[in-house]
Amino acid sequence: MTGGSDRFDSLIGAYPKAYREQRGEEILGTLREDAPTLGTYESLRVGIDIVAQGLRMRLGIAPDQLMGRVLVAAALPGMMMAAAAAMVMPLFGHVLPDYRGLPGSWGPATAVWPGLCGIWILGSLVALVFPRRLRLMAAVCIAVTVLANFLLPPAYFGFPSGFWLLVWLAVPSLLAPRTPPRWSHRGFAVLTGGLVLGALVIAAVRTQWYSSGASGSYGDIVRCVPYVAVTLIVLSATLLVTRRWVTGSAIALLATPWLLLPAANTGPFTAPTTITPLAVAAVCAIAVGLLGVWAADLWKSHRTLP
Amino acid sequence: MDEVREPTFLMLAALAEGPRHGYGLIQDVERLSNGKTKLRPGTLYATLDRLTSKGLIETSGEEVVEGRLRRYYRLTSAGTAVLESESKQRLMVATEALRRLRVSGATPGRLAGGLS
Repeated sequence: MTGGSDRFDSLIGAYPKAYREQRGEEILGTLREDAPTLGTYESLRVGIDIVAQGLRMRLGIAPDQLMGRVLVAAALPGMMMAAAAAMVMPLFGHVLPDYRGLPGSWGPATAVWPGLCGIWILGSLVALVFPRRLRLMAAVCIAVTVLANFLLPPAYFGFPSGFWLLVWLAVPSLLAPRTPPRWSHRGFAVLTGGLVLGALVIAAVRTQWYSSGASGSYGDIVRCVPYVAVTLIVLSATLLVTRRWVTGSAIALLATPWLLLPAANTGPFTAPTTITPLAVAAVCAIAVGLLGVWAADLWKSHRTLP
Repeated sequence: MDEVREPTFLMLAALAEGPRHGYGLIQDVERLSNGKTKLRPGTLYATLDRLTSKGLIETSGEEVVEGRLRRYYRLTSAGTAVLESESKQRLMVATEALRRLRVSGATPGRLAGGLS
């Protein structure tokens, strides 16, 4: 056995034990036959592919499992929603710090945060045009945001919590087992992004964000997100009623950060109680159902071949 | 049946000639696609699992060659029907595309000449 084969032996450990027992020897045989034709770079990619497939199986998010299909359906709409939020975020004070009486010189609020929003908008648009680059774009946007949070010196505004919302919305793109294949997926993604943009703009007008004075800025986007949550819950319910289980579940999944952001930002900027308990119950019910099916898939994948 | 993506179509096409094992499929798919599609083993087995669970392929035996286990796969009747339908669909689109190119005067030969 060569060193390369030994490496494959350890990589195959990424698969669940039951799957390894049934198919491990066969996959190893194929890897060993294929290995001599591979260069260093391609060999590395084969290794990454094996680990990724094994982990997907362990997590119950393989392409033929419900959670895998939900993540595929949520990927592009999530990025479009992130783009919509990134378009609106600068309106909530990130590029207009002066009205709060703070210095208008260069700083996170005047340059870095709008720049970060620009990266999200650009990344999402590239993903829309080139869905094969979806995972790469999501990874870049998330990495830049996380680095900005940890590497930049503390600014007078602090790191806007809205960016964590964008990170959450991009996570399905990272985990999805494959990219959305058809143009219709892109149309739906643009529609959901447009709905979110519309809801945020309407909410911004309704909450009179300019009149809030010194207490305005970041609090206001938090006040607006419940409107988006309601929009998404209605869309999700409509899809589920029309038996589009996967897409409906995907939208419910994408609705959760819009519910959690105001919940995580208590204090003077707490969101108004726009979300009715019924809507929260609806999202919770969908989430519980999804988790149930996910757990069943997970249990199955750890025991038998698909 | 959901949309048949290119790698899946190539795998089904490779199996149309008879049973193949994993590495045989990798080679055949590369040959069929003129080297454009190179399946990686992880993706190959994920696709084989999916096609098996959909009833489009089935195992047809196994052997051990130089200490390596080879499991062979073949098309089921459902798999044959899907491959036939998908092939006709693709052929129809390709034929129509060539007809339109001829009508517009930009025949494939002239296009290739123009590009070279």
